[in-house]
Amino acid sequence: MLRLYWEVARRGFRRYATYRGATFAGVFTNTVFGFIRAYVFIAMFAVAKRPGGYDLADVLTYTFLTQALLMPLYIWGWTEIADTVYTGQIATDLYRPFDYQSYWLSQDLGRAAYHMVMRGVPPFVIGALVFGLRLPTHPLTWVVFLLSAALGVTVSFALRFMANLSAFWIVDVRGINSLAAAVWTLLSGFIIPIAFFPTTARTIIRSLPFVSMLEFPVDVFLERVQGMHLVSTLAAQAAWAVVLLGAGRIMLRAATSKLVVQGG
Amino acid sequence: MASRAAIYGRLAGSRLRAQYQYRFSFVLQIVGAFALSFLDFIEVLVIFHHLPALGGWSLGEVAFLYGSSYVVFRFADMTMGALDRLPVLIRMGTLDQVLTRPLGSLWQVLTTDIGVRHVGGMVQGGIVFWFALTRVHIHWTALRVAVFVSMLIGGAVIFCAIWVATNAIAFWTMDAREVANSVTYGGNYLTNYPLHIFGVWLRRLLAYVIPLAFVNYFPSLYVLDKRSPIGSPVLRFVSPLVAAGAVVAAGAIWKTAVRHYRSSGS
Repeated sequence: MLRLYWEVARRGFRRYATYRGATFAGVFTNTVFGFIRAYVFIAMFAVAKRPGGYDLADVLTYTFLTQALLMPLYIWGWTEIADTVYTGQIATDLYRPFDYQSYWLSQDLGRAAYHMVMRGVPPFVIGALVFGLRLPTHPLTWVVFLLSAALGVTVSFALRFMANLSAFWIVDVRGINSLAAAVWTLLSGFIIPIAFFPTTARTIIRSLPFVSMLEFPVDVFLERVQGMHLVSTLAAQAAWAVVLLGAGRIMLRAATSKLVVQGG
Repeated sequence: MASRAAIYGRLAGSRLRAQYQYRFSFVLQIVGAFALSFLDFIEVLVIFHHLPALGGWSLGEVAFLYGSSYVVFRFADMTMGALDRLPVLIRMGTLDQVLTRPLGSLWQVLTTDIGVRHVGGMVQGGIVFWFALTRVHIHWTALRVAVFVSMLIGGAVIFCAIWVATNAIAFWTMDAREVANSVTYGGNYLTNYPLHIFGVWLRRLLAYVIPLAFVNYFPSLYVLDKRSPIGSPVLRFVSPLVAAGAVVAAGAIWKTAVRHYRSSGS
Protein backbone atom coordinates (compact mmCIF):
# COMPACT_ATOMS: atom_id res chain seq x y z
CA MET A 1 0.00 0.00 0.00
CA LEU A 2 2.84 2.40 0.89
CA ARG A 3 4.36 1.55 -2.47
CA LEU A 4 1.18 2.79 -4.17
CA TYR A 5 1.33 6.16 -2.39
CA TRP A 6 5.02 6.44 -3.28
CA GLU A 7 4.16 5.92 -6.95
CA VAL A 8 1.33 8.46 -6.72
CA ALA A 9 3.77 10.99 -5.23
CA ARG A 10 6.24 10.34 -8.04
CA ARG A 11 3.51 10.91 -10.62
CA GLY A 12 2.60 14.14 -8.81
CA PHE A 13 6.21 15.25 -9.19
CA ARG A 14 6.47 14.30 -12.85
CA ARG A 15 3.11 15.76 -13.79
CA TYR A 16 4.25 19.29 -13.01
CA ALA A 17 7.63 18.74 -14.64
CA THR A 18 5.87 18.84 -18.04
CA TYR A 19 5.33 22.57 -18.00
CA ARG A 20 8.82 24.01 -18.48
CA GLY A 21 7.75 27.42 -19.79
CA ALA A 22 5.41 27.88 -16.85
CA THR A 23 8.21 26.99 -14.46
CA PHE A 24 10.53 29.55 -15.97
CA ALA A 25 7.86 32.26 -15.96
CA GLY A 26 6.98 31.42 -12.37
CA VAL A 27 10.58 31.62 -11.19
CA PHE A 28 10.88 35.02 -12.85
CA THR A 29 7.73 36.29 -11.16
CA ASN A 30 8.60 34.90 -7.71
CA THR A 31 12.04 36.51 -7.98
CA VAL A 32 10.73 39.93 -9.03
CA PHE A 33 8.28 39.88 -6.10
CA GLY A 34 11.17 38.86 -3.83
CA PHE A 35 13.16 41.90 -4.97
CA ILE A 36 10.26 44.32 -4.46
CA ARG A 37 9.56 42.96 -0.96
CA ALA A 38 13.27 42.98 -0.10
CA TYR A 39 13.61 46.71 -0.81
CA VAL A 40 10.58 47.51 1.35
CA PHE A 41 12.26 45.69 4.25
CA ILE A 42 15.62 47.38 3.53
CA ALA A 43 13.87 50.76 3.82
CA MET A 44 12.14 49.57 7.00
CA PHE A 45 15.36 48.35 8.62
CA ALA A 46 17.12 51.60 7.80
CA VAL A 47 14.93 53.09 10.55
CA ALA A 48 13.53 50.27 12.72
CA LYS A 49 15.72 48.79 15.46
CA ARG A 50 15.68 44.97 15.34
CA PRO A 51 11.88 44.51 15.17
CA GLY A 52 10.86 41.11 16.56
CA GLY A 53 14.54 40.24 17.07
CA TYR A 54 15.21 40.22 13.30
CA ASP A 55 18.23 41.87 11.75
CA LEU A 56 18.42 42.84 8.07
CA ALA A 57 20.03 39.55 6.97
CA ASP A 58 17.25 37.65 8.80
CA VAL A 59 14.44 39.56 7.13
CA LEU A 60 15.97 39.32 3.65
CA THR A 61 16.41 35.59 4.12
CA TYR A 62 12.81 35.43 5.36
CA THR A 63 11.70 37.28 2.20
CA PHE A 64 13.32 34.92 -0.30
CA LEU A 65 12.53 31.83 1.76
CA THR A 66 8.82 32.73 1.81
CA GLN A 67 8.95 33.41 -1.94
CA ALA A 68 10.55 29.97 -2.32
CA LEU A 69 7.93 28.21 -0.18
CA LEU A 70 5.01 29.93 -1.88
CA MET A 71 4.57 27.37 -4.65
CA PRO A 72 5.29 24.26 -2.53
CA LEU A 73 2.56 25.46 -0.13
CA TYR A 74 0.20 26.10 -3.08
CA ILE A 75 -2.07 28.36 -1.05
CA TRP A 76 -3.74 30.04 -4.04
CA GLY A 77 -6.30 28.66 -6.39
CA TRP A 78 -6.13 24.87 -6.03
CA THR A 79 -9.60 23.52 -6.92
CA GLU A 80 -8.78 20.07 -8.32
CA ILE A 81 -10.95 18.15 -5.84
CA ALA A 82 -13.76 20.71 -6.07
CA ASP A 83 -13.69 20.27 -9.86
CA THR A 84 -14.20 16.51 -9.49
CA VAL A 85 -17.19 17.23 -7.25
CA TYR A 86 -18.77 19.38 -9.96
CA THR A 87 -18.08 16.89 -12.76
CA GLY A 88 -19.12 13.89 -10.67
CA GLN A 89 -15.73 12.27 -11.18
CA ILE A 90 -15.36 12.10 -7.39
CA ALA A 91 -17.91 9.27 -7.23
CA THR A 92 -15.56 6.95 -9.16
CA ASP A 93 -12.52 8.23 -7.27
CA LEU A 94 -14.15 7.31 -3.96
CA TYR A 95 -14.74 3.78 -5.25
CA ARG A 96 -11.08 3.12 -5.92
CA PRO A 97 -9.32 0.71 -3.56
CA PHE A 98 -7.18 3.22 -1.69
CA ASP A 99 -7.68 5.79 0.99
CA TYR A 100 -9.01 8.90 -0.73
CA GLN A 101 -7.30 11.50 1.47
CA SER A 102 -3.95 9.65 1.54
CA TYR A 103 -4.04 9.42 -2.24
CA TRP A 104 -4.40 13.18 -2.65
CA LEU A 105 -1.90 13.89 0.11
CA SER A 106 0.74 11.73 -1.63
CA GLN A 107 0.01 13.42 -4.92
CA ASP A 108 0.33 16.83 -3.27
CA LEU A 109 3.61 15.99 -1.53
CA GLY A 110 5.04 14.88 -4.88
CA ARG A 111 3.90 18.13 -6.43
CA ALA A 112 5.37 20.12 -3.54
CA ALA A 113 8.73 18.36 -3.96
CA TYR A 114 8.78 19.41 -7.60
CA HIS A 115 7.84 22.98 -6.77
CA MET A 116 10.44 23.09 -4.00
CA VAL A 117 13.25 22.10 -6.35
CA MET A 118 12.22 23.95 -9.50
CA ARG A 119 10.27 26.93 -8.19
CA GLY A 120 11.74 27.30 -4.72
CA VAL A 121 15.48 26.92 -5.13
CA PRO A 122 16.10 29.34 -8.07
CA PRO A 123 14.53 32.49 -6.52
CA PHE A 124 16.34 31.75 -3.27
CA VAL A 125 19.69 31.31 -5.00
CA ILE A 126 19.24 34.54 -6.98
CA GLY A 127 18.25 36.34 -3.77
CA ALA A 128 21.29 34.91 -2.01
CA LEU A 129 23.62 36.08 -4.80
CA VAL A 130 22.20 39.59 -4.89
CA PHE A 131 21.44 40.28 -1.23
CA GLY A 132 23.75 37.84 0.59
CA LEU A 133 21.22 35.79 2.57
CA ARG A 134 21.81 33.98 5.86
CA LEU A 135 22.40 30.23 5.50
CA PRO A 136 22.12 27.79 8.41
CA THR A 137 25.36 27.46 10.39
CA HIS A 138 24.58 23.91 11.49
CA PRO A 139 24.39 21.30 8.64
CA LEU A 140 21.63 19.40 10.42
CA THR A 141 19.41 22.49 10.17
CA TRP A 142 18.96 21.80 6.44
CA VAL A 143 17.51 18.36 7.18
CA VAL A 144 15.23 19.62 9.96
CA PHE A 145 14.13 22.47 7.71
CA LEU A 146 13.05 20.01 4.98
CA LEU A 147 11.09 18.01 7.55
CA SER A 148 9.47 21.18 8.88
CA ALA A 149 8.64 22.36 5.33
CA ALA A 150 7.08 18.95 4.53
CA LEU A 151 4.92 19.25 7.66
CA GLY A 152 4.00 22.75 6.51
CA VAL A 153 2.87 21.41 3.14
CA THR A 154 0.83 18.73 4.93
CA VAL A 155 -0.96 21.36 7.04
CA SER A 156 -1.54 23.44 3.91
CA PHE A 157 -2.91 20.38 2.11
CA ALA A 158 -5.25 19.54 5.00
CA LEU A 159 -6.71 23.06 4.88
CA ARG A 160 -7.03 23.04 1.07
CA PHE A 161 -8.63 19.60 1.22
CA MET A 162 -11.41 20.99 3.42
CA ALA A 163 -11.82 24.16 1.36
CA ASN A 164 -12.24 21.95 -1.72
CA LEU A 165 -14.76 19.67 -0.06
CA SER A 166 -16.96 22.69 0.63
CA ALA A 167 -17.94 22.20 -3.03
CA PHE A 168 -20.39 19.59 -1.75
CA TRP A 169 -22.39 22.35 -0.10
CA ILE A 170 -21.69 25.45 -2.25
CA VAL A 171 -22.24 26.00 -5.97
CA ASP A 172 -19.01 27.91 -6.55
CA VAL A 173 -15.97 27.46 -4.30
CA ARG A 174 -13.97 30.35 -5.74
CA GLY A 175 -15.35 32.90 -3.26
CA ILE A 176 -14.59 30.74 -0.21
CA ASN A 177 -11.22 29.77 -1.65
CA SER A 178 -10.01 33.32 -2.23
CA LEU A 179 -11.21 34.42 1.19
CA ALA A 180 -9.47 31.47 2.85
CA ALA A 181 -6.27 32.04 0.87
CA ALA A 182 -6.19 35.68 1.95
CA VAL A 183 -6.52 34.75 5.62
CA TRP A 184 -3.90 32.00 5.32
CA THR A 185 -1.35 34.27 3.59
CA LEU A 186 -1.55 36.85 6.35
CA LEU A 187 -1.80 34.51 9.35
CA SER A 188 0.88 32.08 8.13
CA GLY A 189 3.39 34.93 8.17
CA PHE A 190 3.76 35.25 4.41
CA ILE A 191 2.91 38.94 4.07
CA ILE A 192 5.02 40.10 7.01
CA PRO A 193 6.84 38.17 9.77
CA ILE A 194 4.50 37.34 12.65
CA ALA A 195 7.33 38.52 14.97
CA PHE A 196 6.66 42.10 13.77
CA PHE A 197 3.08 42.14 15.05
CA PRO A 198 2.20 43.75 18.41
CA THR A 199 2.41 41.27 21.33
CA THR A 200 -1.28 40.43 21.68
CA ALA A 201 -1.83 39.88 17.96
CA ARG A 202 1.31 37.74 17.85
CA THR A 203 0.13 35.50 20.69
CA ILE A 204 -3.27 34.98 19.09
CA ILE A 205 -1.85 34.28 15.61
CA ARG A 206 0.68 31.77 16.96
CA SER A 207 -2.06 29.79 18.70
CA LEU A 208 -3.69 29.17 15.27
CA PRO A 209 -2.62 26.42 12.85
CA PHE A 210 -1.54 28.72 10.00
CA VAL A 211 1.94 29.54 11.34
CA SER A 212 2.72 25.81 11.00
CA MET A 213 2.68 26.27 7.22
CA LEU A 214 5.26 29.01 6.93
CA GLU A 215 6.53 30.80 10.01
CA PHE A 216 7.75 27.62 11.70
CA PRO A 217 9.80 26.32 8.75
CA VAL A 218 11.30 29.80 8.32
CA ASP A 219 12.18 29.99 12.03
CA VAL A 220 13.86 26.60 11.73
CA PHE A 221 15.91 27.76 8.74
CA LEU A 222 16.95 30.98 10.47
CA GLU A 223 17.86 28.89 13.56
CA ARG A 224 15.65 31.12 15.65
CA VAL A 225 14.29 28.00 17.35
CA GLN A 226 16.79 25.59 18.89
CA GLY A 227 16.99 22.69 21.35
CA MET A 228 13.73 21.92 23.14
CA HIS A 229 12.03 24.81 21.39
CA LEU A 230 12.88 23.19 18.06
CA VAL A 231 11.33 19.90 19.18
CA SER A 232 8.17 21.63 20.39
CA THR A 233 7.90 23.55 17.10
CA LEU A 234 8.00 20.36 15.03
CA ALA A 235 5.60 18.69 17.48
CA ALA A 236 3.13 21.58 17.07
CA GLN A 237 3.32 21.24 13.28
CA ALA A 238 2.77 17.48 13.44
CA ALA A 239 -0.13 17.90 15.88
CA TRP A 240 -1.87 20.45 13.65
CA ALA A 241 -1.31 18.20 10.62
CA VAL A 242 -2.99 15.27 12.41
CA VAL A 243 -5.87 17.37 13.76
CA LEU A 244 -6.61 19.06 10.42
CA LEU A 245 -6.31 15.87 8.38
CA GLY A 246 -8.71 14.27 10.89
CA ALA A 247 -11.14 17.15 10.49
CA GLY A 248 -10.91 16.68 6.72
CA ARG A 249 -11.81 12.99 7.09
CA ILE A 250 -14.87 13.85 9.17
CA MET A 251 -15.86 16.41 6.55
CA LEU A 252 -15.38 13.84 3.78
CA ARG A 253 -17.63 11.38 5.62
CA ALA A 254 -20.33 14.04 6.05
CA ALA A 255 -20.02 14.95 2.36
CA THR A 256 -20.21 11.39 1.02
CA SER A 257 -23.22 10.58 3.18
CA LYS A 258 -25.15 13.16 1.16
CA LEU A 259 -23.60 12.16 -2.18
CA VAL A 260 -26.13 10.92 -4.67
CA VAL A 261 -24.72 9.52 -7.88
CA GLN A 262 -26.90 10.05 -10.93
CA GLY A 263 -27.20 7.20 -13.38
CA GLY A 264 -24.68 4.41 -13.62
CA MET B 1 -17.44 54.68 -32.40
CA ALA B 2 -20.62 55.33 -30.43
CA SER B 3 -22.10 52.06 -31.60
CA ARG B 4 -18.94 50.23 -30.61
CA ALA B 5 -19.28 51.57 -27.06
CA ALA B 6 -22.93 50.46 -27.08
CA ILE B 7 -21.95 46.94 -28.11
CA TYR B 8 -19.27 46.84 -25.42
CA GLY B 9 -21.85 48.00 -22.87
CA ARG B 10 -24.30 45.35 -23.96
CA LEU B 11 -21.75 42.51 -23.85
CA ALA B 12 -20.49 43.66 -20.46
CA GLY B 13 -24.07 43.92 -19.18
CA SER B 14 -24.80 40.34 -20.15
CA ARG B 15 -21.73 39.18 -18.19
CA LEU B 16 -22.88 41.07 -15.12
CA ARG B 17 -26.36 39.56 -15.29
CA ALA B 18 -24.85 36.09 -15.71
CA GLN B 19 -22.70 36.50 -12.59
CA TYR B 20 -25.58 37.91 -10.61
CA GLN B 21 -27.49 34.67 -11.09
CA TYR B 22 -25.32 33.03 -8.40
CA ARG B 23 -26.15 35.70 -5.86
CA PHE B 24 -24.52 34.17 -2.77
CA SER B 25 -21.25 33.52 -4.56
CA PHE B 26 -21.42 36.97 -6.19
CA VAL B 27 -21.76 38.78 -2.87
CA LEU B 28 -19.20 36.53 -1.21
CA GLN B 29 -16.67 37.30 -3.94
CA ILE B 30 -17.09 41.04 -3.48
CA VAL B 31 -16.81 40.73 0.31
CA GLY B 32 -13.84 38.39 -0.16
CA ALA B 33 -12.04 40.83 -2.45
CA PHE B 34 -12.71 43.61 0.07
CA ALA B 35 -11.30 41.60 2.99
CA LEU B 36 -8.44 40.23 0.90
CA SER B 37 -7.18 43.65 -0.08
CA PHE B 38 -7.54 45.00 3.45
CA LEU B 39 -5.20 42.27 4.65
CA ASP B 40 -2.55 43.86 2.41
CA PHE B 41 -2.89 47.14 4.25
CA ILE B 42 -2.10 45.35 7.52
CA GLU B 43 1.44 45.00 6.19
CA VAL B 44 1.72 48.79 5.99
CA LEU B 45 0.25 49.21 9.48
CA VAL B 46 2.62 46.62 10.98
CA ILE B 47 5.64 48.30 9.35
CA PHE B 48 4.60 51.68 10.78
CA HIS B 49 4.18 50.05 14.19
CA HIS B 50 8.00 50.07 14.26
CA LEU B 51 8.84 53.45 12.72
CA PRO B 52 7.51 56.99 12.18
CA ALA B 53 8.44 57.25 8.48
CA LEU B 54 9.44 54.88 5.67
CA GLY B 55 11.92 56.38 3.22
CA GLY B 56 10.93 59.78 4.65
CA TRP B 57 7.20 59.20 4.08
CA SER B 58 4.68 59.17 6.94
CA LEU B 59 1.90 56.62 7.38
CA GLY B 60 -0.61 59.06 5.91
CA GLU B 61 1.57 59.64 2.87
CA VAL B 62 2.21 55.94 2.25
CA ALA B 63 -1.53 55.34 2.72
CA PHE B 64 -2.05 58.00 0.03
CA LEU B 65 0.12 55.97 -2.37
CA TYR B 66 -1.51 52.71 -1.31
CA GLY B 67 -5.05 54.04 -1.70
CA SER B 68 -4.42 55.62 -5.09
CA SER B 69 -2.64 52.49 -6.32
CA TYR B 70 -5.41 50.21 -5.15
CA VAL B 71 -8.31 52.16 -6.60
CA VAL B 72 -6.79 52.40 -10.07
CA PHE B 73 -5.27 48.93 -10.06
CA ARG B 74 -8.51 47.23 -9.08
CA PHE B 75 -10.33 49.23 -11.73
CA ALA B 76 -7.87 47.88 -14.31
CA ASP B 77 -8.21 44.39 -12.84
CA MET B 78 -11.99 44.60 -13.18
CA THR B 79 -12.04 45.82 -16.77
CA MET B 80 -8.94 44.00 -18.09
CA GLY B 81 -8.91 40.89 -15.90
CA ALA B 82 -10.51 38.81 -18.67
CA LEU B 83 -7.13 38.86 -20.41
CA ASP B 84 -6.06 36.27 -17.84
CA ARG B 85 -8.26 33.89 -19.80
CA LEU B 86 -6.50 34.52 -23.09
CA PRO B 87 -4.46 31.27 -22.99
CA VAL B 88 -7.71 29.33 -22.48
CA LEU B 89 -9.39 31.10 -25.40
CA ILE B 90 -6.41 30.32 -27.62
CA ARG B 91 -6.19 26.67 -26.55
CA MET B 92 -9.93 26.05 -26.97
CA GLY B 93 -9.98 27.71 -30.37
CA THR B 94 -12.53 30.25 -29.13
CA LEU B 95 -10.29 33.04 -30.31
CA ASP B 96 -10.92 32.01 -33.91
CA GLN B 97 -14.60 32.88 -33.47
CA VAL B 98 -13.61 36.22 -31.97
CA LEU B 99 -11.47 37.09 -34.98
CA THR B 100 -14.24 36.37 -37.48
CA ARG B 101 -16.65 38.83 -35.86
CA PRO B 102 -16.82 42.47 -36.99
CA LEU B 103 -15.76 43.96 -33.63
CA GLY B 104 -12.26 44.64 -32.30
CA SER B 105 -10.65 41.49 -30.90
CA LEU B 106 -9.53 43.22 -27.70
CA TRP B 107 -13.04 44.41 -26.82
CA GLN B 108 -14.48 40.97 -27.34
CA VAL B 109 -11.85 39.28 -25.17
CA LEU B 110 -12.38 41.88 -22.44
CA THR B 111 -16.09 41.17 -22.28
CA THR B 112 -15.64 37.43 -21.75
CA ASP B 113 -15.39 38.25 -18.06
CA ILE B 114 -16.03 41.36 -15.97
CA GLY B 115 -14.52 40.93 -12.52
CA VAL B 116 -17.17 42.73 -10.48
CA ARG B 117 -15.62 41.31 -7.31
CA HIS B 118 -12.84 43.88 -7.71
CA VAL B 119 -15.36 46.53 -6.73
CA GLY B 120 -14.63 45.19 -3.23
CA GLY B 121 -10.93 45.98 -3.70
CA MET B 122 -11.71 49.46 -5.05
CA VAL B 123 -13.91 50.21 -2.05
CA GLN B 124 -11.11 49.15 0.30
CA GLY B 125 -8.62 51.30 -1.62
CA GLY B 126 -11.09 54.17 -1.36
CA ILE B 127 -11.36 53.74 2.43
CA VAL B 128 -7.56 53.76 2.82
CA PHE B 129 -7.42 56.79 0.53
CA TRP B 130 -9.96 58.61 2.68
CA PHE B 131 -7.95 57.68 5.78
CA ALA B 132 -4.85 59.12 4.08
CA LEU B 133 -6.59 62.38 3.17
CA THR B 134 -7.57 62.92 6.82
CA ARG B 135 -3.93 62.53 7.90
CA VAL B 136 -1.99 64.52 5.31
CA HIS B 137 -2.22 68.28 4.86
CA ILE B 138 -2.64 69.21 1.25
CA HIS B 139 -2.71 72.85 0.19
CA TRP B 140 -5.29 72.49 -2.51
CA THR B 141 -4.84 74.77 -5.50
CA ALA B 142 -6.42 74.50 -8.93
CA LEU B 143 -3.22 72.93 -10.27
CA ARG B 144 -3.06 70.44 -7.39
CA VAL B 145 -6.65 69.37 -8.03
CA ALA B 146 -5.83 68.96 -11.72
CA VAL B 147 -2.72 66.87 -10.99
CA PHE B 148 -4.67 64.81 -8.44
CA VAL B 149 -7.50 64.02 -10.86
CA SER B 150 -5.14 63.34 -13.77
CA MET B 151 -3.14 61.01 -11.48
CA LEU B 152 -6.20 58.82 -10.90
CA ILE B 153 -7.26 58.77 -14.54
CA GLY B 154 -3.71 58.41 -15.85
CA GLY B 155 -2.91 55.70 -13.30
CA ALA B 156 -5.94 53.65 -14.32
CA VAL B 157 -5.08 54.04 -18.00
CA ILE B 158 -1.43 53.08 -17.44
CA PHE B 159 -2.42 49.93 -15.53
CA CYS B 160 -4.93 48.97 -18.25
CA ALA B 161 -2.25 49.43 -20.91
CA ILE B 162 0.23 47.32 -18.90
CA TRP B 163 -2.41 44.62 -18.60
CA VAL B 164 -2.99 44.50 -22.36
CA ALA B 165 0.69 44.70 -23.33
CA THR B 166 1.92 42.00 -20.93
CA ASN B 167 -0.93 39.56 -21.46
CA ALA B 168 -0.33 39.68 -25.22
CA ILE B 169 2.65 37.39 -24.44
CA ALA B 170 0.09 34.58 -24.52
CA PHE B 171 0.01 34.83 -28.34
CA TRP B 172 3.65 33.73 -28.48
CA THR B 173 3.87 31.36 -25.55
CA MET B 174 0.96 30.17 -23.50
CA ASP B 175 2.67 28.95 -20.34
CA ALA B 176 4.60 32.13 -19.80
CA ARG B 177 1.73 34.35 -18.86
CA GLU B 178 2.69 34.31 -15.20
CA VAL B 179 5.40 36.79 -16.20
CA ALA B 180 2.57 39.29 -16.66
CA ASN B 181 1.77 38.95 -12.94
CA SER B 182 5.14 40.36 -11.98
CA VAL B 183 4.26 43.72 -13.53
CA THR B 184 0.49 43.77 -12.90
CA TYR B 185 0.18 42.45 -9.34
CA GLY B 186 3.84 43.25 -8.73
CA GLY B 187 3.18 46.76 -10.04
CA ASN B 188 0.29 47.18 -7.64
CA TYR B 189 2.57 46.17 -4.76
CA LEU B 190 5.44 48.37 -5.91
CA THR B 191 3.23 51.46 -6.22
CA ASN B 192 2.05 51.06 -2.61
CA TYR B 193 5.42 52.42 -1.49
CA PRO B 194 7.54 55.48 -2.38
CA LEU B 195 9.55 54.58 -5.45
CA HIS B 196 12.93 55.86 -4.24
CA ILE B 197 13.25 53.03 -1.68
CA PHE B 198 13.69 50.49 -4.49
CA GLY B 199 17.03 49.55 -5.99
CA VAL B 200 18.18 51.42 -9.05
CA TRP B 201 17.87 48.54 -11.55
CA LEU B 202 14.45 47.48 -10.34
CA ARG B 203 13.39 51.11 -10.61
CA ARG B 204 14.70 51.46 -14.15
CA LEU B 205 12.90 48.35 -15.26
CA LEU B 206 9.59 48.62 -13.44
CA ALA B 207 9.24 52.37 -13.13
CA TYR B 208 10.52 53.70 -16.43
CA VAL B 209 10.50 50.87 -19.01
CA ILE B 210 7.17 49.74 -17.54
CA PRO B 211 5.96 53.22 -16.58
CA LEU B 212 4.80 52.40 -13.03
CA ALA B 213 6.47 55.53 -11.62
CA PHE B 214 3.81 57.64 -13.32
CA VAL B 215 0.87 55.75 -11.84
CA ASN B 216 1.08 57.62 -8.55
CA TYR B 217 4.61 58.36 -7.31
CA PHE B 218 5.54 61.41 -9.37
CA PRO B 219 2.11 63.09 -9.28
CA SER B 220 1.93 62.41 -5.51
CA LEU B 221 5.21 64.25 -5.01
CA TYR B 222 3.49 67.36 -6.31
CA VAL B 223 0.15 66.87 -4.57
CA LEU B 224 1.80 66.11 -1.20
CA ASP B 225 4.56 68.68 -1.81
CA LYS B 226 7.37 66.18 -1.17
CA ARG B 227 11.04 66.32 -2.10
CA SER B 228 12.46 63.31 -3.87
CA PRO B 229 16.01 62.05 -4.36
CA ILE B 230 15.11 60.85 -7.85
CA GLY B 231 13.65 62.27 -11.05
CA SER B 232 13.36 65.84 -12.36
CA PRO B 233 10.44 68.01 -11.06
CA VAL B 234 9.01 68.12 -14.58
CA LEU B 235 8.17 64.41 -14.28
CA ARG B 236 5.49 65.28 -11.71
CA PHE B 237 3.24 66.65 -14.44
CA VAL B 238 3.69 64.22 -17.30
CA SER B 239 1.52 61.30 -16.17
CA PRO B 240 -1.26 62.06 -18.71
CA LEU B 241 1.30 62.09 -21.53
CA VAL B 242 2.84 58.84 -20.32
CA ALA B 243 -0.65 57.33 -20.10
CA ALA B 244 -1.38 58.34 -23.70
CA GLY B 245 1.94 56.89 -24.82
CA ALA B 246 1.25 53.66 -22.92
CA VAL B 247 -2.09 53.26 -24.70
CA VAL B 248 -0.49 53.69 -28.11
CA ALA B 249 2.28 51.22 -27.24
CA ALA B 250 -0.15 48.66 -25.80
CA GLY B 251 -2.39 48.97 -28.86
CA ALA B 252 0.57 48.40 -31.19
CA ILE B 253 1.72 45.37 -29.18
CA TRP B 254 -1.77 43.88 -29.22
CA LYS B 255 -2.12 44.37 -33.00
CA THR B 256 1.29 42.80 -33.65
CA ALA B 257 0.40 39.92 -31.36
CA VAL B 258 -2.93 39.23 -33.09
CA ARG B 259 -1.25 39.36 -36.49
CA HIS B 260 1.32 36.87 -35.20
CA TYR B 261 -1.44 34.52 -34.03
CA ARG B 262 -1.82 31.21 -35.86
CA SER B 263 -4.86 29.18 -34.98
CA SER B 264 -4.28 25.89 -33.20
CA GLY B 265 -6.61 24.45 -35.84
CA SER B 266 -8.86 22.68 -33.36
